Amino acid sequence: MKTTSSLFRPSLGIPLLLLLALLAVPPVAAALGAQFYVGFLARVLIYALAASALNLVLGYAGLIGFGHALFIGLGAYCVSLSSLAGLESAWPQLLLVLVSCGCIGALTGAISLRTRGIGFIMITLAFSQMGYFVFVSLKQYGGDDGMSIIATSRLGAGIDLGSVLPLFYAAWGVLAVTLLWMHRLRHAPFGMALRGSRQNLARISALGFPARRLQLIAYVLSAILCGLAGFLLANLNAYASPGLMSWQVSGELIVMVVLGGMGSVFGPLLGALAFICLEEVMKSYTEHWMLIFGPMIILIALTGRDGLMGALHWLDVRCCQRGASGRIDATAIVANGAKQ
Amino acid sequence: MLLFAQLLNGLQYGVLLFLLAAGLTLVFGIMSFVNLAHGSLYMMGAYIAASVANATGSFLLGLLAALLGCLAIGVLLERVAVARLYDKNHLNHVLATFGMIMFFNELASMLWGKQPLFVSVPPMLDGVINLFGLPYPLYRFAVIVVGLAVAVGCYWMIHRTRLGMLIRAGANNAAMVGALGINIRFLNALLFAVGAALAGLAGAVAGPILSVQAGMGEPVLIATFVVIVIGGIGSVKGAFYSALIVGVVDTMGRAFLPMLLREMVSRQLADAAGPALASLLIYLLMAAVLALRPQGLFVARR
Amino acid sequence: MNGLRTQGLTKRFGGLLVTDDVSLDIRPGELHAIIGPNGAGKTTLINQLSGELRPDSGQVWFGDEEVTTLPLHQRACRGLLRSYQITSIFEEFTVMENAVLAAVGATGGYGFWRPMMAREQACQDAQQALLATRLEARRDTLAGELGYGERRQLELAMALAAQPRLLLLDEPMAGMSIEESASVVQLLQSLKGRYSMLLIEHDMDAVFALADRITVLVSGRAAFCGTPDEIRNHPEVRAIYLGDEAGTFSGAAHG
Repeated sequence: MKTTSSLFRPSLGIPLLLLLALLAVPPVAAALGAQFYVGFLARVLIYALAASALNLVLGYAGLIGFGHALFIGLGAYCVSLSSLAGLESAWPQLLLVLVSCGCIGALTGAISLRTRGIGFIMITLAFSQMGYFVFVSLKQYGGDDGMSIIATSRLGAGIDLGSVLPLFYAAWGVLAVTLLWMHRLRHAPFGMALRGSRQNLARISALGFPARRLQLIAYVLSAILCGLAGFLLANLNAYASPGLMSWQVSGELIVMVVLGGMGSVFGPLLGALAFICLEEVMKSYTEHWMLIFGPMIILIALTGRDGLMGALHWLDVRCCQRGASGRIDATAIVANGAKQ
Repeated sequence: MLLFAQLLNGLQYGVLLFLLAAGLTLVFGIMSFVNLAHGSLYMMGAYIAASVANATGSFLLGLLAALLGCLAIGVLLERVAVARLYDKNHLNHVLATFGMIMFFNELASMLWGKQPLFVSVPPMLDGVINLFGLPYPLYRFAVIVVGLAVAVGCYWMIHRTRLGMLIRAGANNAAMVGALGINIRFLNALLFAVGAALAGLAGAVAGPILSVQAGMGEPVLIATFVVIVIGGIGSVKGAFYSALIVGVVDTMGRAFLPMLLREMVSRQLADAAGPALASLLIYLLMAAVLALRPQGLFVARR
Repeated sequence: MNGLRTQGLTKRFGGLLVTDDVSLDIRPGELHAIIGPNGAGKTTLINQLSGELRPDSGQVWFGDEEVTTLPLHQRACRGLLRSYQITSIFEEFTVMENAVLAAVGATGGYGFWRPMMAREQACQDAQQALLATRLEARRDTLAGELGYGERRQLELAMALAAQPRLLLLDEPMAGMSIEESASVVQLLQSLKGRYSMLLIEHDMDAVFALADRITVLVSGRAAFCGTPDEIRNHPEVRAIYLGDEAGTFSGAAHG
């Protein structure tokens, strides 16, 4: 039973609208004199990118990786270390991000994927802790305090990613391309096999797919995307610190993915937006916001719905029913739509 | 001599890890519940013990308060949240316990402030003991003794009592135990609570040695994860041996690796890489074990 | 169409000898059935053929190639495909997606951009498989919503969609009603000659109706092998089944 494929259904229209609206933020903010929001939303875009990367591993492949912050940190340090060495152009830095995150992703992924379930969670966590401790111990690179970046990445043609405006658009562009690719990937053979492996790992192998290799590829791809997010974050803050690799960041990414709707295309964007905005609002009320945020996350875990995208799919059913064309099985639509 | 002292320190850290690992590995193995909040229980134990000890002047009272307090918190957590999560998948466990970590860390800093809490070694144990010619801090030695005693107690309980038999059965086939009519919910609650109490004991005991502050639980928790992965999920015996191994490797590594490196490479490189490498040792150990024997050194489940 | 040969296949679990020096010979194009009492080791045997288990000793030959140590997914790519006794489908995908995925998998499908459903050959193969298993009408239904019998059919369709050279069918009629079983027998009958098939089944009517040759597995040993008539009249085989399914053999004569 196909869900309505109207372009204006809430589960597609609202997130798309949101994405497009974000494009308008810099000029609007400039006009209103509220420059703060450009940087704030740039951060949202970057975390949405990282959450999307995690979504590939968590939502599509069904692997609970608790160490993705490692690659965010690595990406950030690629920028800071290159800038220290005098390398300021963005392109070689990006190559460095690709190579370092790709290699370390492949290495940690290959070892981690030898476990499953609980073991996988713990070992990915342990690997990100490794990274954290390495960089904390490297006192000459700032250690615990991190490194500030004097010279931010230059894209060429005079564009400096260290200033908020180019960074915002760069982040938006990368996110948009990533989301498009994630959408295409869902229905491409690799994506279908990956999503199949989440439902039934043994059968995927029995069908002829090299399951572990697919999982590893997904892991490496998501590591590189997280590294890209780290690259952007370093330019946004002009700063790189081990704290970016901490388990708290990994945990927050997981919350964002689940909150937005695991396995959906726009989920990570909605989740990152909701999470960061909520955090910001709560921080302004009380310094002990974690006391309330913590139980909220517990509640999300206990209720276990399909997140924000699940709510939008429910709206799909309510708003866009085509009553004339025969019987509509509402539960099937929601189930079908929510999984799409 | 220095080697021997560090070995003992390693054993002391090891028994601390065992106290944490024992409860955690059973919860993992039998209920298949991923409990990230175990470190928070350790932290609460440390805080409760420290504040009661400082208030009453009696370390023993603090210890007792920590044990009972963490037992109570464990029961509460289990009934309110954990029990509802058993039939959900691991992701929900991760999320829920992640939320718990946030909550407890914030609670701790709200109740006790952001500054580390200081608790002194009880006067009775404040001294040195002469071990084969080495003067070793009596308190640390006492910790080793207590840890080993708990290990013996665990062994006795698991292999000599009916409860232990249920635990071993549960580790092997949890569904079957429930089908046999055993009140699996009570068993689960009991296991979780005992694990919490052990974590609290570890925290209480660690107070005089390490600093008591919000967030102290997580680094130790991650080391505990390494212990469990190496030892084999669900195996208390595995947890014991691997806790000692991890404790010794970590402590001796941190103590001697930078020194060793200086013999081999330039002083500059050694000073830079030494501490980093030392903190990596236990993770490298875990990676090696996983590469060679993914199920861990001891297998509890068939 | 390929043949499958095993030579001295042996598998132990601890001290238990589950597969005892089994040498099979499945000729190309034949439907070869394996029967035996419960606990005879049929599932372990089929697991060694599909690649889920490695034998302790012995060889497995698929066509001209030795595949004893070849992993599961590579055997599938070579056309050695299996359907499962316990239904193993992708519940969140539609019936058509399940079948196309199976078709793509056998061809070693990678692809990060173009939709899977755009692969014409795979879709055609999947469509044909669904037609053969009479699931065409349900192609857009989520697999999770299918009834038990339909799921078993999808199980079979997935194996067919992958253009197998040899099908390992692990109790395809398990748990089916009489009508459903009959339609599966019809389906397998129509596939005879197009694929080589190894059939493990308890349903004696089906076995005697379909099989070209039958191997009887007893305590891990391939005790007897012959045509249905030979097996039906074999005194020792009757003795094994006596008391259990004494009427089965005479009943099957009407089948």
